Amino acid sequence: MAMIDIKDLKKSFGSNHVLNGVNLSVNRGDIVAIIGSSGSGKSTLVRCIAGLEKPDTGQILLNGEEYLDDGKGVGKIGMVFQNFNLFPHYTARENITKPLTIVKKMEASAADEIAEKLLRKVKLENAANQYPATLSGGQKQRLAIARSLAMEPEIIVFDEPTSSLDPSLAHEVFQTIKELAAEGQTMLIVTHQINAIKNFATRVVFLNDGIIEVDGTCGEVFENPTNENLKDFLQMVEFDDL
Amino acid sequence: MVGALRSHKLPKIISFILGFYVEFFRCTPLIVQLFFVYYGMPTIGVKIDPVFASIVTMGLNSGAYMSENVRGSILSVDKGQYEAAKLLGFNSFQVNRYIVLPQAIRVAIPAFMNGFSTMIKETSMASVLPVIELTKLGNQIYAKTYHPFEIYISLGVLYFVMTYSMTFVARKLERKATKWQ
Repeated sequence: MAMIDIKDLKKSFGSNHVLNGVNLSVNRGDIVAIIGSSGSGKSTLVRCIAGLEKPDTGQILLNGEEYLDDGKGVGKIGMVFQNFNLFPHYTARENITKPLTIVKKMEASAADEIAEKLLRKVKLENAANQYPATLSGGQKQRLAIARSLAMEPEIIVFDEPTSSLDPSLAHEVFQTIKELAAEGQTMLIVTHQINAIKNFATRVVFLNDGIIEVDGTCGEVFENPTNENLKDFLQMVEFDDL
Repeated sequence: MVGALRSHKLPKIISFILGFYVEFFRCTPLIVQLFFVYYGMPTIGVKIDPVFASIVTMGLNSGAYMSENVRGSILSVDKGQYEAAKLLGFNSFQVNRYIVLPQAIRVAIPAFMNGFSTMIKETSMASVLPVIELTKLGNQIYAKTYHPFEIYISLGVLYFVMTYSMTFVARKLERKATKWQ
């Protein structure tokens, strides 16, 4: 059974039809990169999966069950945002421990232990007592990943995690994502940075005008694209990379 | 509390009542409100002690302004904070208590302290009612002694000390609330 099963998902904002019938299955351990030009519906799709947008029609199942309306998905889907959305009034450590002590009612010492472990994992052990305002963009995003991991989500969705970062900071973040991929974490990554995901995405989905036009392996999508819209998109991305 | 409530989606009737309270007290002069409560209410059978009338009217007047400060500061918290908290499993109460309010307080402190300073100064308006407060006391002393310069400068100093001490407290609170910036 697929971990995430999306069936005929539609979503509009007024007269703007953003998702026009998306069908997608994500299996445990998959690392699915979602690519497509701006306005193609990538962010709306992941926001629907995370429960931040309510689809107009269609179904999203997590392990075969509906989860969006009854709170069953709480904590099971982690999300890493483009603009981090760290809690600015908590230190790096507290950004990880607060959800554990407040939501999971965990003992402070146990939460601290998890925070230490995760901060080490994202190489932020020396910044544990710093506030987000004092961290670099890359550090902020790695902290956001650590915070998400603390809740032990079944899947993490990344909404353009590196688009507000310069290339060196983006590299740091992708290194962390790669390490998670090696550990078997299921992930959905919306990104424009094709070169960064080529090495580790198990599948690539190309979204155009709210429909999945191509769904294949990196080789199928990047080496031998047959879809005309995808070819145009890849040319544009290559041009942007220059 | 009114400001916090008004920053959320409410049933229409509650929203109307709270909105009416805020707009009524913001859009009419304090002196009219004082006269209405003290002189107007007894005509419909509600007789109020002048000190109590002053406290209630000024409390409601100041509350109307401050509720707008609270509302504005809550609305200033980025939508992404709510989204991140929701995804981490925080419920509505927890989001407000642990995520939104600590950030909103930082924004609200300067306006809040400004409101307190204004309220201290506006207590002098109670002198239009039969209430012995600082300004009226000054007037009474003046009527007996005919020393306006000394009396009114003393009054000014007293108001200044009270108001300035609020500014001092505000700076301390601001520093505390913005240590994470």
